[in-house]
Amino acid sequence: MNTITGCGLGLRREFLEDFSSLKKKPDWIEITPENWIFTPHRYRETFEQIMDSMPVVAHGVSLSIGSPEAIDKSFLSEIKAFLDRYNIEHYSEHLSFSTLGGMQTYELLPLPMTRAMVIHIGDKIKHVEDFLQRPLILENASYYLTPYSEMAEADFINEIAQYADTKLLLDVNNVYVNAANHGFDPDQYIAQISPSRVAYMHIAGHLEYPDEVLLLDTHGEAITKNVWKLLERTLKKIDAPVMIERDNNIPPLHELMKEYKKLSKIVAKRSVK
Amino acid sequence: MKTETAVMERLVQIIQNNEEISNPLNNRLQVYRDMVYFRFFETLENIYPILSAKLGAELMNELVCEFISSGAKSPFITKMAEEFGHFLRHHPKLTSTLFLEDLLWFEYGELELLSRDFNDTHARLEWSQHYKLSSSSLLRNLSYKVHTGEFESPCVSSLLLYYHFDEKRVYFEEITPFAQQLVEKLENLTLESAVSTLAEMYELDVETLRQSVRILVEKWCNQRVLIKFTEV
Repeated sequence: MNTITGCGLGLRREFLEDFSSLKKKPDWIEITPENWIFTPHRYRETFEQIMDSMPVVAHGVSLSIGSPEAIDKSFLSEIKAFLDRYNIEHYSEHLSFSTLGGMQTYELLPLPMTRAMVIHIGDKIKHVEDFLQRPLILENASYYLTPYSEMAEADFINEIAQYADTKLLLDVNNVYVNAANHGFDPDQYIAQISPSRVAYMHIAGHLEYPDEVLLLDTHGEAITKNVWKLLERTLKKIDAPVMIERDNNIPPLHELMKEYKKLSKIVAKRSVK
Repeated sequence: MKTETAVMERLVQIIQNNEEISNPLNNRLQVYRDMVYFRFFETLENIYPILSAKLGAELMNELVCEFISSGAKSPFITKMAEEFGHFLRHHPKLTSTLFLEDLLWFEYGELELLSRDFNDTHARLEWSQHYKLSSSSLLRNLSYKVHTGEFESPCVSSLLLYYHFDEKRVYFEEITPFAQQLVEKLENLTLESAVSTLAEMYELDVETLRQSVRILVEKWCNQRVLIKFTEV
């Protein structure tokens, strides 16, 4: 991944103007194409200035790679036009499904982790990559139940990555949340991921209900101490760019930049070693 | 993939429909059902705040659940709100909600204008010119004055929604029947001819009318409500 190095931040409309006037910007940004394909007039100028000034990764939410049906070509055409327009080389998506029979749920639903699904998704990845003329990077999504499974999540991801020869977006928070919710060791999971497969990483916040059994991957809270620690341990094994992903409950930019500075320090410490 | 497809279909069926879930507090299916519901509800309530308040929490909740079951198709979540509008227009529980059509237009219109980008060229007043509404404006004859909160008694009005380029906001303005007719006539007639036609219709002095129309058309050109109409 030659265009991004160091630390990134997810760009959100909520702080677009503040971001454009930042003196020291993040090394790179990630944007969600679905939120910008129809860029409204009120954001266009600022958005385009930012897009022209720094490395960008696109992180989609509606591809639904795991759906049994073929990918909606008109949607894919919209994505391709957007990526081409802004010359974005890297496009990532979630290992999940959100559409079935053409009906949308707008949520990342869990996939049956089976060999047939590995082949199904692997073939779809190749189709998407051919269509988009660029690689597709797959993210480990959070999930609260396993609808049907023949293998562990890490094996499922590794098999897909190997079958389709694709790169991964490793979401460290999702590993932490899934490990807590499904009772596995997050460090063992990360040890199973081949470092050379990881294109970049996410770090984010989640919600801990004191009286509930589940951790909820809200991407709407500050990053927890445990996730920071897991990231530090991950960085000892995987040398890949990292970014902060905040999707909900967006705080003022200066608060996010505090987290960004913390991330930069952790990554710099890794680089020194 | 047969088994996998069946499992996924069942999962979506449980999430989208309201069948009972055993021990929902400890059931992870309920987590997914809640996430999907809140995603839809939050989006729709933000886009249709007045409609949500008018329908009330209970009915709105019921309609959103039914809509989720019926299935939204657009991969873009804000476009889902437009599909929700179509769903409501045909819903048997809302046949007596006579202001529905106007309110859906009014609330979705704001989102539509805020979501668009505009390439229209700024126009200037020229009496020999044809004009049309720009892509940054919407005009509709309402049967209910939903913009002033009058939902009980019908009252015809013409409402203009337009994007304010400096403030980057959408404004609405109730316009007179005369102004509404002027907009209609400008697509087929030059400004000069439209004024003459309207002066004849309303039995007004053409010169006096020209002064009023000049002020109005200049204002609309400045606001980019009107653009030059050019045949393709």
